[in-house]
Amino acid sequence: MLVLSRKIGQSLLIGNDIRIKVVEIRGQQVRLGLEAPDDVPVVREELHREVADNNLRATAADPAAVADLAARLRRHAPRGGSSNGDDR
Amino acid sequence: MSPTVADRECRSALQRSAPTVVYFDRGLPGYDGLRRWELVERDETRPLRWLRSVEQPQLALPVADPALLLAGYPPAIPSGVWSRLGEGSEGRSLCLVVVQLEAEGASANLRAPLVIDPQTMRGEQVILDDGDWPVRFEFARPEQAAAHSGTGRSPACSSSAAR
Repeated sequence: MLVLSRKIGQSLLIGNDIRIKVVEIRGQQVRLGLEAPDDVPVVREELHREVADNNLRATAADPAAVADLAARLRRHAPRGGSSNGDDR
Repeated sequence: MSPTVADRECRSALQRSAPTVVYFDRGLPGYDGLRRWELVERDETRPLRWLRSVEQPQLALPVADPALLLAGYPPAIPSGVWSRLGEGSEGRSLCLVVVQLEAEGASANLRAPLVIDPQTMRGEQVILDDGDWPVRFEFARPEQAAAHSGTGRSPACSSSAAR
């Protein structure tokens, strides 16, 4: 991993269009400013990992248990099926 | 043809029981290499649906229309998502959430909704900045199952003002 020292207000460029700027340092916390093009999503790594773990667990769901859950949703949702198609 | 009618046709295209393939440019978190997923509906798991990998069909995530679970969702989506999904995707895109079985009941990942443009058939699992939306929003616990019966309102995803 490349390690660089930066002072408050200084930045790094990754490629031509991603800029990371040190905005503030407070104790153990560093505040960073980020500029990236629209096609580059920026996300906290631990959150990405949490969503990934959640997805991995979801694919392991027992289909019979999902069917049970669906049956309960059908009982409690009077209108039954998905409402995505009901336009305003 | 009015845009509203076109929207409705696109939406119903996603509701047909025939599988519908959605292209996720970056895959899904945890499944980064898998880009093509199809929405599958099965009688026994309705109103839930499955997002099943085309490349690895043994992989499928249960997904739900969030309107079945709570009101006031989906929240604002960062504008970058719309440029990635394609011009005009804002306003016609669908929102689904990944469902997780829990010890009691189930949870839905409200922090990372699946946003799907039914016209371009491109999708993205958007990880929201807003920490108010939990990765595990619990619903359908036995004692509270009746509390979340959905509102019947299912707003299209909209853009956030900021960003």
